[in-house]
Amino acid sequence: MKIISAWKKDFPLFSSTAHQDLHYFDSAATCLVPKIVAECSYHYLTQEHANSHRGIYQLSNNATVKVEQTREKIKDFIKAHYPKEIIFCSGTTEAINIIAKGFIKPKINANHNIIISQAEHHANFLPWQMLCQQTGAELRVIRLNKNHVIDIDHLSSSIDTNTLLIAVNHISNVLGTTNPVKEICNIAKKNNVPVLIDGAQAIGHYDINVSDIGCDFYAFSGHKMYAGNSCGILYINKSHHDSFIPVTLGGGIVDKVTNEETRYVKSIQKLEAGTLNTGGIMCLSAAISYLNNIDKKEIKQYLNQVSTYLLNQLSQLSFIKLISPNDETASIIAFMMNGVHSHDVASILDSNNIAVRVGHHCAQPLHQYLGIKNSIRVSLGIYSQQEDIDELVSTLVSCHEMLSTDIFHE
Amino acid sequence: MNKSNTMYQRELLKHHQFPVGFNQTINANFQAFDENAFCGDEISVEVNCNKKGEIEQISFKGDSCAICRASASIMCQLLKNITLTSADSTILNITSTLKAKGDLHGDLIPLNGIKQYPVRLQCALLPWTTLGNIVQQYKCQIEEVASCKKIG
Repeated sequence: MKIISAWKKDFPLFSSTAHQDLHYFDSAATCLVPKIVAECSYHYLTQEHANSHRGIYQLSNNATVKVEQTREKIKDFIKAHYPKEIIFCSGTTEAINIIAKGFIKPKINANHNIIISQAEHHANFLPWQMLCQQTGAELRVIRLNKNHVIDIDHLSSSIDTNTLLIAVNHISNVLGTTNPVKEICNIAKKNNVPVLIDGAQAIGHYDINVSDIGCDFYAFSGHKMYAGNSCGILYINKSHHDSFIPVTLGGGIVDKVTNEETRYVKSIQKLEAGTLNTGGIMCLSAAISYLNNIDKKEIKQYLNQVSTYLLNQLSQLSFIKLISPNDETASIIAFMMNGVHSHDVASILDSNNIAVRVGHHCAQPLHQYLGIKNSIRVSLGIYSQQEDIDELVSTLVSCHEMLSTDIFHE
Repeated sequence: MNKSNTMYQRELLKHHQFPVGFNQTINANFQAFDENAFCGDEISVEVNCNKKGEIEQISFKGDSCAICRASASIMCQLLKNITLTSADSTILNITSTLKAKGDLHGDLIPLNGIKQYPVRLQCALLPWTTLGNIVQQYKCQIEEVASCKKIG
């Protein structure tokens, strides 16, 4: 029996005249948007648009109520303890930068070290590299084990009394591997080191429970959970709220300002300066409602089924070299084609309306570690199904026939 | 393919599969290296140029995509026995034509298909901009010789 998505019909892009034949394999970059989210965006812009948390008129007040309801909803979605542990930002990148500038920068010096892994997206690499370069602190990059997940022994032995933070991804944006984040948090706790989890690739697929994971910070983006260009979220455990300084200065974060001094609010709303992206927050709320109406186990089982089929099909192609481990639970799979450059593969796939991502996927240190310059990445969403994979595989075969040359890697 | 892909035309694929000047060892007196920041592709162009400034031999090497390699092959085919000063005009012509309206002619025709794919333009242009670095080296050398003569 063919693997068919029960949710594809919810995504209007596939029924649009221009893209009805689209085979979309770039959900790790951004997920497509279900109708319910698109309608929410239109409704907000035409019926509800207002500046939240500022006006005392009804329209603004309604926006404020909805933003705070969404904060509560997100708290429930990721199983945090308090809504005030949730802050809105532009995306995962900004969320990580907030930790770097608002939490680590005020205390870091040349004696300290920060621990990351070899498989981090540049968003969870560059802020720490720059901070360490500026202060003389050490950036400790943890290697991966044979299954391409963080080497726990190496991580454990790298922690010392001067470790300020461990910042690692939940799911690698290139390899699709899932790191043992709960185990990492347990090890960190014993050493009194806070942990930041980059949850960008996990949020759309896993049932996230920050309390169970035991992390101090968890960052993710709405657009990777079917919310369109919405907003980002940073979870900050309550125990750290007093340690933060504001990163962006502006409206909405002060108790009192005089010519001489400023008294900032004590809560982490001091990290939400300026006008909130209220429309984006509404879209995130709609996306959560959409996902809440689907059994998470059902999503996981379905994606595992699609992923298994994809891996089976790819493994039958002798000219495909898998970069990702053969893990049937991964929704992201990276590979290369022998004798054909990844960018040419992507262009040929595009000729058949197949959208994949090629390049270094903002993870150059990982590619250097793997000894490659680029890779082809296929990532799944709840709309992916067997016919997409069949089309992908047959086009890969044509592409290899058309472009393969043994002078490629001399 | 469902959509016609204008990039991978037969003539371009010939250059990709049988590239002119690829990995050839020449007695080079000019060499330049460049890379494509977008994908990490690298190319090294070597030129043997005589006292009149004419390109007697030109070759390239590096790990690159079909578009970049074919473009480099066309470059090697087209510019042999041409002066580096004339090559400079050709580089300008290709760069401006690929980025704007109008078509390339003659040996350069296979590159016209890339115009519809702005992200891949840098693949096609990489060999030419690398050769542009050699032209600059040549010009500096000429100026240095001229200033030495003045001082002398």
